[in-house]
Amino acid sequence: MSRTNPKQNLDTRRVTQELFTLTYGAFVAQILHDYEHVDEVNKQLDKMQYKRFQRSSGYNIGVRLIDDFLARNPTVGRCNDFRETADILSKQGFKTYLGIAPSITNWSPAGDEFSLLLDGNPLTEFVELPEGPGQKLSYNQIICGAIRGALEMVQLEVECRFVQDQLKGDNTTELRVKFLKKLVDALPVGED
Amino acid sequence: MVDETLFDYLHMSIVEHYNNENESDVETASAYLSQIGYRVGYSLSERLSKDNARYRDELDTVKYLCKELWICLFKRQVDNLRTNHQGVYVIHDGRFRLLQQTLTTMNKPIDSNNRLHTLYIAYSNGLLRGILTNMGYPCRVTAEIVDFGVRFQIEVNPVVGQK
Amino acid sequence: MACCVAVLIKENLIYLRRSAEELKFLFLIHASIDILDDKVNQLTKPTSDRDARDFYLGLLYPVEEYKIYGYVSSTRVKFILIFEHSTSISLKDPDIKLLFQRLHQAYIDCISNPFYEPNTQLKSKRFEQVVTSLMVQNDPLTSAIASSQASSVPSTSVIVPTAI
Repeated sequence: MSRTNPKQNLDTRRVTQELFTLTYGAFVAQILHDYEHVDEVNKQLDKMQYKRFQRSSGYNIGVRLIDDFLARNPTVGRCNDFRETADILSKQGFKTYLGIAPSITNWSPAGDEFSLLLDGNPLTEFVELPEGPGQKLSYNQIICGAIRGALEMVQLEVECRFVQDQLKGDNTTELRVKFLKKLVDALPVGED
Repeated sequence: MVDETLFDYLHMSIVEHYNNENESDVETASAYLSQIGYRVGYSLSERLSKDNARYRDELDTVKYLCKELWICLFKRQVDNLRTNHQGVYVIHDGRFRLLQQTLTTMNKPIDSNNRLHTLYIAYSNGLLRGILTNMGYPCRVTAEIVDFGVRFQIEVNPVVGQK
Repeated sequence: MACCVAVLIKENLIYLRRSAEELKFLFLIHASIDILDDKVNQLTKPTSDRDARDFYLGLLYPVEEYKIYGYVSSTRVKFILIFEHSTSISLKDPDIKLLFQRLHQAYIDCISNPFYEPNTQLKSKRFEQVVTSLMVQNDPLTSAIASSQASSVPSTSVIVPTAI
């Protein structure tokens, strides 16, 4: 166990981050490529399709992440209100996994909707969107899926969408999270 | 910094995506996964090239991959590296990370006969191929699941290796 | 500053920008390829005693009006910078090396874009910006009027790499 590589020149954490960022990027580029070939005529549908898949990939990640998250943060209990959820999402969720803590702003008067401003998002570190239809790509969509998936596992149904995106030339990347309803505290069919 | 578990989950989701997309066609799904891995290896090796500025010959490159890189990518050292000194290298990792993570999560035993399980090593296959190819050594990589680990076989194409 | 910036993979030119649409740059670049390959091969020989901790390969060859410098990454990507003779007088090796390192980093970031297709032409706004900075740094007029200004280039000796 003591045999760590003495000639270690590489920053393991940086490689880990780059491996993740590049892998996600290669996946998105591959999907974009795949669907361009499916049906040139029906581009609209294509777009919806790849969005759907990114979301579902994100959703699966979220569902898994939440277990890991709760195991690592045993002090996190049931949230009293949506503001507390927002806080944990940003300061613990994002912080733990992406290493950033987006600021929480633009609360709706009813307190059921807020924005997260993503600064220094590692996902998009190297990305320049391709010309053409690719400009409409919602590159970060996977984050929406992950949040939805994770929160659904703790009985919160939310809607997530990007309203601003730096990749598309906006000044900031703004993710809008809206509380929809509390799910009935029953186990999903066929699980556990 | 990005947490390493995120990569494991991403990898699993990508495998699932291609598995769903290409129902029961393991070959096609593997090809896609390998292609993604290749693209990552290509960029990653270029990014790493600045850290340790020197030119490497073939053996040196494979050693670099197994010693320095492996621990970054898969969080442990390889158990064994062998070569016939004619461009064939066999790397054995007895507890291959991406396989362990996946199989424990799926709560199923490792089964080298289960063709679905080969999907979980297809990305890594491409990753190794991408790294070595971009470092100047185009190659073919095959892999098989052995017990709890993976044995990768790399065949470097000696003709294109130089220049 | 540089009047020509080129990036090659093997013999394929995947990026070229020059201050003027002159064919001669292509000849100069072409002539550099073999020199670069030779230098790298020398350095990869087991007997090579130079501690090759460096991708900067220095001056490849001078011609009448130009000086041609080269840099090859461990992944064998070739970078070439051409300077007008008059500009290059004030340039020292460490300065040029810095320019190459910035170019290399820009290349790395460019090919890390998932939408870049490996081994194709480099198309990236960020990369263009870096190249522009290599070509116009300090003195935007250098390339246009350098030949008549051999004596008035004190500013080019101060090369401050932009903060990272």
